[in-house]
Amino acid sequence: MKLRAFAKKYDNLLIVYAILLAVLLAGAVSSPRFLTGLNLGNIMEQAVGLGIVALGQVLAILLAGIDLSVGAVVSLSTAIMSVELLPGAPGVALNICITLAAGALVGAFNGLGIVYLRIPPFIMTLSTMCIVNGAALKIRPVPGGTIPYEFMDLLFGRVDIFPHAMLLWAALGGVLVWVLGSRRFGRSLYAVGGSPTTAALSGIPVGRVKLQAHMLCSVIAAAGGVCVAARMGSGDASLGDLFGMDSVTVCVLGGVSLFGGQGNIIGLLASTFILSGISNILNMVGVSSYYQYVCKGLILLVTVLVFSMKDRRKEARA
Amino acid sequence: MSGGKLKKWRQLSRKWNIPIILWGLIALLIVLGFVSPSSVKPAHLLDFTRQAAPMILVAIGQTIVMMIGGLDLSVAAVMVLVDVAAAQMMMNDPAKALPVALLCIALGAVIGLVNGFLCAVMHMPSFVVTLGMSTLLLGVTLLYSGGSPKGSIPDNLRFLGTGFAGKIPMAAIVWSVVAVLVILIMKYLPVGRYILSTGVNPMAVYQSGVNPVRIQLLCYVLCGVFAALAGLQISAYIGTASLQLGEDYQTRSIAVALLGGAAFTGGKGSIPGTVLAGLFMVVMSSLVAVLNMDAGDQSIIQGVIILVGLLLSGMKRDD
Repeated sequence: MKLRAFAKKYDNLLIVYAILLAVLLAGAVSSPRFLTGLNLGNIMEQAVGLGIVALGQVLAILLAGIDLSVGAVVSLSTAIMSVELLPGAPGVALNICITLAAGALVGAFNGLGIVYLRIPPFIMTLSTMCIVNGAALKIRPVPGGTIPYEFMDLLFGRVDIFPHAMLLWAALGGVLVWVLGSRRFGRSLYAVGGSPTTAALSGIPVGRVKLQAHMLCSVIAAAGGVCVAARMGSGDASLGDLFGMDSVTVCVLGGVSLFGGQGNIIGLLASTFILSGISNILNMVGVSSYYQYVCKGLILLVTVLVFSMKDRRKEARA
Repeated sequence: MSGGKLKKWRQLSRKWNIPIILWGLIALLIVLGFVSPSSVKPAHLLDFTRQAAPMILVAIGQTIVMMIGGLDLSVAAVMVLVDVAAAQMMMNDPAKALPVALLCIALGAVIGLVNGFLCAVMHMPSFVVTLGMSTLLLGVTLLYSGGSPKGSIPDNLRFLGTGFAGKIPMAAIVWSVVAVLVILIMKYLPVGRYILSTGVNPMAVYQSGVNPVRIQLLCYVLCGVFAALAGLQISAYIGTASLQLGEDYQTRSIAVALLGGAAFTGGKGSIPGTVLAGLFMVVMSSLVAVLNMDAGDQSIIQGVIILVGLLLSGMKRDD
């Protein structure tokens, strides 16, 4: 009985982890090299940038909003990281600080527009996306620059099969689970996302929560950008283009509701690996990589269909 | 401009039901006139009406879907698929132009119907459905074309994109006819009222004896059809198949609908506003190009102008 109650409460999570299991099984069946430590490490390496960005995106989505500018922030981060300001380790540290500060600035801009000018998040972050993409292009009109090899090794060297960045991602996810689950800011975030009016009436500073969430979202996206830069080894103002929509896909697959106030960070881990697992399998089998778009689209549609059918059955029973 | 005057203008435009974006368009043209006087000559202005054709067509569809509180993120994918399919199937054969064009429009309608079924009947959020559909269609387009699309568009269809009737570009006539038709339907046929009321309160529509699910299905189908038309219009203009042309149209079609007066919450939107906002977008791109700035500056200016345009159209309506 306890198990059933658990399954009922976390049904979305069970579904997404079941899909991940299916993807892993499919991989194991299709290629003997899939389940080797080396390949699993590669999948993690590939997933980590998107995974971190999705941890930021989920904050905007929990508010019933969206942040389309995360992709541009990733591009900007790789551009900033690829400029050598100072030689050696202090230089890299300085670059990271500037990148995160730029992220905070972008987030503050988004948040201020959404809270004080009351511009819908979709269009506010769309404009920001254009502006930030422009800034990235100013810094890196053509792809180039180099990231110090030592820094790349620091983030993507491996402990056993795990790249260090994977541990960073896990740590960040853990902190967010704690913040969202049992800190005032996290609980307020869910309340505001569920119903801004009720939240305001209960004395939650709605505007401040939104502003903080958007700043945190962009800072996390900038951190994701630092990882992407370290993996690529150079700066490119178009590297982040796909991250905006992909991070939304990850959140939705992970069971986070676009209507706000509902969802869990735990699912994002599985949904990120589903996406990068699929492209890895297709590469290994040697099928045209175009199929990955078809797979991604179908998995998104089918999963959300299952989510919504399940919710309707629940409603009908209630 | 002083505050009082601005208020008076707003009242005036409200009285005559003029979309506020018209003033934005005029302001942009004046700025363009100062920066580059040759750009506001009649021939050049007419060229804007040609360039705007695909944007206006796709944004009309987007506006209709937004009127019912939906969103279509798959319009650009439909445009690219239609462009690639049209070029590959026509293979420069004038006799095939009409049947293939009709087939493409039917394709758009079917994609819209699937979107509509998942959103309206299965109650899935339109954002996710159309995002998934867009990814799916991108894959299908890539597989269909093998990554390097072939074929070209015959001259009789190209006439609709590049030809002129007297001094007026055919493309402008195409979107004008479509826009006038849609405006008349929205204004004088009951279905126009049903669409707007479905966006405000589907239950009320249901209780007055109309099935809101059917209205929603209709809107998604129309959006698919308009996206297909926009794709054909682009094919007619460039004459070949291209995998890259759609990117700009996705988010911008939503921006245009919003600038024209639509809202994410549904129940709002104006076709004349959308048409003017489509022109606004084209003039803005031209202004940015005329200023001879690098790609970075262009992108920044675009973001700022969209934001300012939005604030000027009094976008303080919804969250």
